Amino acid sequence: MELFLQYFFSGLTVGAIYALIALSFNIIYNTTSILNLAQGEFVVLGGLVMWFFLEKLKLPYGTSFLLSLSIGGLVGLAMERLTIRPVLKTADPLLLILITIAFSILLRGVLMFLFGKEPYGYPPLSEGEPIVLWGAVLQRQVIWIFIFVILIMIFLYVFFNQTMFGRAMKACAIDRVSAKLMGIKTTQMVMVSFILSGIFASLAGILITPITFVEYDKGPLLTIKGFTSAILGGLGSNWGVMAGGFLLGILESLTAGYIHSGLKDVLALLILLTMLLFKPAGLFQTAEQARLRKL
Amino acid sequence: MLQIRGLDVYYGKLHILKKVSLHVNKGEIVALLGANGAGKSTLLNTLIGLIVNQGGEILYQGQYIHTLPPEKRVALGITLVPEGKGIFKPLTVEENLILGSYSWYSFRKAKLLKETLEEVYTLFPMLKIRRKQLAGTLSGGQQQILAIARALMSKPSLLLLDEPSMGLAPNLIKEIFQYIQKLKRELKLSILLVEQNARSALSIADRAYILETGKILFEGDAPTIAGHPEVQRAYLGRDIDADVPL
Repeated sequence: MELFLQYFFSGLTVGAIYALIALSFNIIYNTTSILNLAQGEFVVLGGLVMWFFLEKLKLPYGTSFLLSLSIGGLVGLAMERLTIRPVLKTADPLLLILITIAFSILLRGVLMFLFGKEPYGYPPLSEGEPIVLWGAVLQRQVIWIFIFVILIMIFLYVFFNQTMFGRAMKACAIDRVSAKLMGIKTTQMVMVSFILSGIFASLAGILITPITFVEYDKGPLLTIKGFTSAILGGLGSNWGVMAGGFLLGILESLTAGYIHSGLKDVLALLILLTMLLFKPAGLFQTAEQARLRKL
Repeated sequence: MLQIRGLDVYYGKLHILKKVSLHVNKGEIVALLGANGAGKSTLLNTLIGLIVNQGGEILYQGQYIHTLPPEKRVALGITLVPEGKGIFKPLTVEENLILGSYSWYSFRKAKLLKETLEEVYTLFPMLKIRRKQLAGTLSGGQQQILAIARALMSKPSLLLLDEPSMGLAPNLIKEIFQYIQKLKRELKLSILLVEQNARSALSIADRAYILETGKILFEGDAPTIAGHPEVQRAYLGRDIDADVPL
């Protein structure tokens, strides 16, 4: 039982990170219907930049945290302005997705150039002994990760349901032409979605690095895991992709624990293929809903 | 209030609108009639800025607007209720209405938004009862009313209506047209109404234009247009049911 709980907790931890990445996918998908396959690089960016501010420049934790998030957002903004904006109106989604792959290679190269190939780590948000819960060990950082995921869920709920700007983004996701008729500047919504997505992905990186370390080439695998989570939960719905993230994390951790740790990544790809073949709209929604209900 | 001069619109090489000129005076309902593919919807989409015109000019309240993007035109007080309603089906009725106010809303105007919402609810009490319902679950007629109500939320002075009667039962069409008249009477709106249902449109319009394959064929007061033999034959079906009074 303790063993199961231990696997379960570590599954929740990775799951929370996958959920954040899946969410970053979703935000951009909803406003542009393209997949940003550079998402994993943004996670790595968050971890590495945080290390730079915290360990190299010796800035306080809070400052480094906020600075790293802003850098994530700014790189997201730069990506939209430089690579997506100029071709958004004319290019088809496939070309745009290829552009994001190109951007991910570029970003990975820059990160390698700046940080080298070594893994980086830094202390967790709060020091202290791990917490023992029913015989299973839970690191303090994991609690922080949960707190942040809950905060983001609340933020998303309030943002999309209580603010005009969030509603406008929803409108843009549902029907871009009608959104324009409401006087909504849809290109602005695309820009904001890239910024938000950059921030959420970097947040995932900042939070996970104290547990797993980060090096420049971790991005592609994270992209695949985040994408699998998004497909599993149903691309388009924020709550769905979050649930998908946690589900994938737990399944992975159980597989690694009970069967073989080498099967961890195989499982994600297997799930991805199965879902795409048999239920591309995700576990929690029908194909009809996927078309209609976004966010 | 609205003046279009020599408007030219192409889709690729197709010449859709050929030197179209028309005007809408303050507080009048102008009907734009014509068969399928005459370019009626194209004209409205060009007016709101979804389509860019290659030639001619659009003058609105003394200002050239044909170079402005849609959001600027909406902010100036032009609103289009598109063909097929264009409501946000997964959102609630109230969210749809709130989005209508996007062009003028700011945090400090939250109170004004509430008031505007109440005004619209008084005009269409049906929407107030159903405000928490998902817009996609409304009937066709209710969705059309929602689309018009949402357009009113932007506080327009010129309302562009694209086929409001499309897909509706005859008794509902009558209701919708009564609402349109009410908007003119009570809110002093100027309305450009695009319709295939010529008979209903002419019954509430002050003036009318007939558009055929991208050109204005006739223009005049609604009764004159309705009495024109060519219009009667082509658009009002007088040959077939000659004894039905207009």
